[in-house]
Amino acid sequence: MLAYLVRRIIIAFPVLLGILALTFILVQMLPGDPATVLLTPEEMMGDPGLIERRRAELGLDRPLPVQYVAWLGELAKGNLGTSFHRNVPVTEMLAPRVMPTLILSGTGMVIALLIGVPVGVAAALRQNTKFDYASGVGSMVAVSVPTFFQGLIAIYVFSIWLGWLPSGGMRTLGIPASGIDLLKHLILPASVLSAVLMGPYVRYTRQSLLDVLRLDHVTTAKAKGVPRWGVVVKHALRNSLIPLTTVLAVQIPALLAGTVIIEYVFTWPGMGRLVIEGINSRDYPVILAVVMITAVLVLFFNFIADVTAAILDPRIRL
Amino acid sequence: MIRQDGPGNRLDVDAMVEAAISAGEAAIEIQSVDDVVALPPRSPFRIGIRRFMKHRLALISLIYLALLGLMAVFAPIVAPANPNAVDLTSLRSAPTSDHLLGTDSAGRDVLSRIIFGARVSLTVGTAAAVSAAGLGTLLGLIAGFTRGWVDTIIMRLVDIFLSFPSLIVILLLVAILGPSVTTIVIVIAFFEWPTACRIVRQMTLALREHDFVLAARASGSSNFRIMRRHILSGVVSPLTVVTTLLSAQAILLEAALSFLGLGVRPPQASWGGMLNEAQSITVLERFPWLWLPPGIAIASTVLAINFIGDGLRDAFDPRQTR
Repeated sequence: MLAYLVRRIIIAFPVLLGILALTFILVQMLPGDPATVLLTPEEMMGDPGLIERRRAELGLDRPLPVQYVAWLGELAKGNLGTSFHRNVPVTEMLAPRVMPTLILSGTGMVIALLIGVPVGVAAALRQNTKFDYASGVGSMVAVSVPTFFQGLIAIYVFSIWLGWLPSGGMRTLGIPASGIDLLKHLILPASVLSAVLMGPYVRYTRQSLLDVLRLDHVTTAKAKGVPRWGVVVKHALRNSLIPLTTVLAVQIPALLAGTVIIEYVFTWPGMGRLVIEGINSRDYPVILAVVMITAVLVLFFNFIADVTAAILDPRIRL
Repeated sequence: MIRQDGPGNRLDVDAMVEAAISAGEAAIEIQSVDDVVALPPRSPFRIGIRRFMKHRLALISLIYLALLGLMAVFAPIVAPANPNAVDLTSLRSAPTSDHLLGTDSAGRDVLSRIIFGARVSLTVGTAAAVSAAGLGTLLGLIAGFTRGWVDTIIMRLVDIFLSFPSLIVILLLVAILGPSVTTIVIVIAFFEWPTACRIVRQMTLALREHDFVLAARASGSSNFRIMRRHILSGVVSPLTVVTTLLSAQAILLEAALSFLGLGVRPPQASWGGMLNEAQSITVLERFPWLWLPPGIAIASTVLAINFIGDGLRDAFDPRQTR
């Protein structure tokens, strides 16, 4: 197990550096000169040497590789840069946005798992029946309808037409914050988000269970006279859920992309909405910070998923 | 065996090798009596095509998509009105016999804009998917064929690119570079190649161990010839599936970009852009003909492509169990 861990870390490290390097390249592509961003036109007119000194002060006159290392050093200290738009550290803008996004994406993922996995299992056990085909077509529809369109339909039906749920935001203004109020606001966006994730969960659970049901130890169990549910629950299901850990990790970029769109449609005050606001106000450091954080998170969750799979299935360690 | 050099000899061996592969794979692929009774199958690809035709949903989707393509190509003839013609006397008018799907906030005919919008979606879907698959195939072939440190570097690149949430990076790049169909295609291709690369590499690694590659090498085939003639032909089937699914992905990405106002520039009609208007609750509530039709257009197109991809996967991959 230790050797496997070390091998995984050796693979993950260059990927991390690569993610950071690609982010740095994107930073370099950004329009606007950081040296002049914080200066007024009067200051620049009055002193022609000021920009040059400013560049030296910010270290912008050094070669790019040196700047890259210096930038890495700042990152290590937790400095994600300064917002162009509001002139405050990016971390300050990000902090209040993290929790709402975690609530939304966490709830979406849980709903998707609670519905997707049982449906996938049922589809595999009733292979080639109407239920199986319906769940296949259903999950295909769920991934094919654009997220924002699903959101608009949900608002149209449940907020405007039926008037059951609020159409956006995270709480009702003017009444004290409460769990029930939050839940009311959470249902629609979280359900739409779960629809995006559910399709792949159904598919992979079904395929994986079908693969396991064909293995020899399942046949042996059946031959010994183990009842059908016992075969499925004890001998097949546990093994078939191992690949799902990888699917969960692989789906994280899709989860985040879905979150961006859904937060936008439902005016949910999370990181995704911050990204769109950042793009509209050309506030690139904010977007880059989110991009980098999510990329690093994806790498981290992939690592966790690999390790979990290795713990559950010793063959992977070899 | 004495090896004889000469072009004739090499061609013979190559031909034999080809025959051996197709015979061998055909033997494996034949699964039902139908396949045997019908014309003798010539290649796995052919068999795949025949199996695809039996997949009803995929076949219906293919017909739908073909009609959509024709509609896009002949948009100026098919469309009842000019998609950009502004009619200030009928703003946001409900569907009538004049405007079958009503008019939008600038008095433009919604149906005509949908017909012309198909051009954007289909162009982006095809161009981005083909470029992404092309780039991925090239890198995947190189990685799988050379192995060693080149392979390591390419695979780490794949890991790096797969870690990025593509929608956000694409949003950022399009915002920096300025939105246009070309930019969108290039940026999508640049972030969507790793899927194709992984699959092509996997196939290449498996195929290069076959005896027929050894035989081709022994008969003096160059690396380039082996890659092109023996490996690439084996990669075609999975690559078709991946490219199809990538185009569905690309259409969804373009729609999302246009919905957020970062896609194709107005007044050019695009489905995602038409939905942009529905961000106001008033439009959402009172003018459903402005946002329902383009949404249905995107959803049905992407669904059709996904069904085709599904059908192709079943057709080409006998291990799949549906």
